[in-house]
Amino acid sequence: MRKIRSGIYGLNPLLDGGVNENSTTVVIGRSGAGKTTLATQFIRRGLQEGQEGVFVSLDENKEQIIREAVEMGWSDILEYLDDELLVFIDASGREFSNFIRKELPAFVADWKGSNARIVIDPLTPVLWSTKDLYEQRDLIGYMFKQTRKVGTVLCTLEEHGLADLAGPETVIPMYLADCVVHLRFDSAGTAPSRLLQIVKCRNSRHSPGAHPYQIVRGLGIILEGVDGRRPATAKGPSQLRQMLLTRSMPKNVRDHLEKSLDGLTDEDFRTLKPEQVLELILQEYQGT
Amino acid sequence: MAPGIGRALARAVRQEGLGEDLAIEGPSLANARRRQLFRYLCLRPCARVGEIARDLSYSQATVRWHEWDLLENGYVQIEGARVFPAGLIDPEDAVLFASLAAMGRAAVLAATFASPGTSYQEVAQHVDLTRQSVSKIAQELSEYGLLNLVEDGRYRRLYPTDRLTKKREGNRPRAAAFGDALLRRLADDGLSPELLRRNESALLVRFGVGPQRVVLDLPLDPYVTAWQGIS
Repeated sequence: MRKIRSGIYGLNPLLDGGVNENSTTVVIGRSGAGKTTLATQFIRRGLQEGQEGVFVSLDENKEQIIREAVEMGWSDILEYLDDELLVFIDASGREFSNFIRKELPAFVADWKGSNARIVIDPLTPVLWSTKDLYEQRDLIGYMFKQTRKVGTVLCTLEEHGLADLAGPETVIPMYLADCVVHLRFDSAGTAPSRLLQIVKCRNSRHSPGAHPYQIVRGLGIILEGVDGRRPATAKGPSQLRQMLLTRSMPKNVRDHLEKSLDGLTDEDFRTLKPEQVLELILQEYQGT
Repeated sequence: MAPGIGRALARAVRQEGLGEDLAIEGPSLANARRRQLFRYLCLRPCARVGEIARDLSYSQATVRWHEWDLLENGYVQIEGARVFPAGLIDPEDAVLFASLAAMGRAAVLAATFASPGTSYQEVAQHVDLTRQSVSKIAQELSEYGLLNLVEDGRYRRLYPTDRLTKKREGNRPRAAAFGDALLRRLADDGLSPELLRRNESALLVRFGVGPQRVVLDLPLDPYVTAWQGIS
């Protein structure tokens, strides 16, 4: 799986190098959490790499988003717009749902293999275009499956009520997306607190923790305290590899396990102890 | 791949080109209005000309003209005065579909399916009809075997039967064959059809002449869509 740089300062190390290419990411957060800022950073980074960008806005009008981006200090997007490397699309949730049902297959057939970055901000109106939960799941699942054939997709999702990701508007996209990022924003106190957490990321290691972040004019979202240059250690996997050699087990099982340990790091083992893992493996294959 | 994905996506989201006529004389479905009419009849077979004209914002004369063309070219067939896509439904059900095409009947049926055991009075409030109208419609739907009317003290309650469900299940092979026949017909008409998506309830096909292509999404589940509204 090829990694592409997210454009969000400090996020790439938390995703083992970046966002998986041709994947779908959902960014969930309350109003003011920085979802649109994150989405703009993501698309702008792609433009810097020569990728095309498509920003589908289902809520605010495009002039508003462009104005906010320019106020943030990212006036270079005006040039990308002039060159049509970046295209903004205004649509209602119902229009976009109709597009998914009627036009998306033809569009994907024509543009399959493209390398664009596509943002849908926010996805919530698409979900609300139908009350039927089965239809919602079918619509979102189909959209994710198809759109990743033409690029790397990032959708934002509004979080309503408690910040526990249990709301009906978040559950379906969370299950269906490849990667889920939660922006937890609490504006109740004197100083608003912001935490970014990667809830899941298919086919990639990812940080399990919650990381404080700030939104800084000119730079966008910056994660605090992330050291991306710290080399990964593999003490645990190495110990387990040594232990496997000392214990009796079928050769094909040992060969397979040794291969599985290739590339694993202590981050993968987290709190697991190599000797405990070995005992569990032996129990599994005892007598076979 | 050449750049331009953003502009193409914008055009697709706005569904530009969907209502264009194809630059070819002859084939019925090259005409955009005829496609819309054909789609409507797949959704609501045997709908009356007046209702079609209202829903599609065409004149009644336009609807009749295009219906006649579709009939001449074998895309639709007629039983009495009831027009429906050829091969999509059991012709014996034409009377049933003509009945369901009336707004009031469809609304009462939908309300009963949504809330089995509902009373005449509750349905009347829900669908904005008088109790007497609901009573008359319920009687008709009961005669078609679609509803059971049950006495409950001083109330009469409505329960849906499984007749439509059974008919729907029984119609699946016919709907599948209808889809296959349509694709063959488009090919025979020189419209180079390209199947984009297909499931039990819908078919999405793109066709055209040269670079000019249109997309047609055809609903294939009339035993549900005929009374559940238009999408």
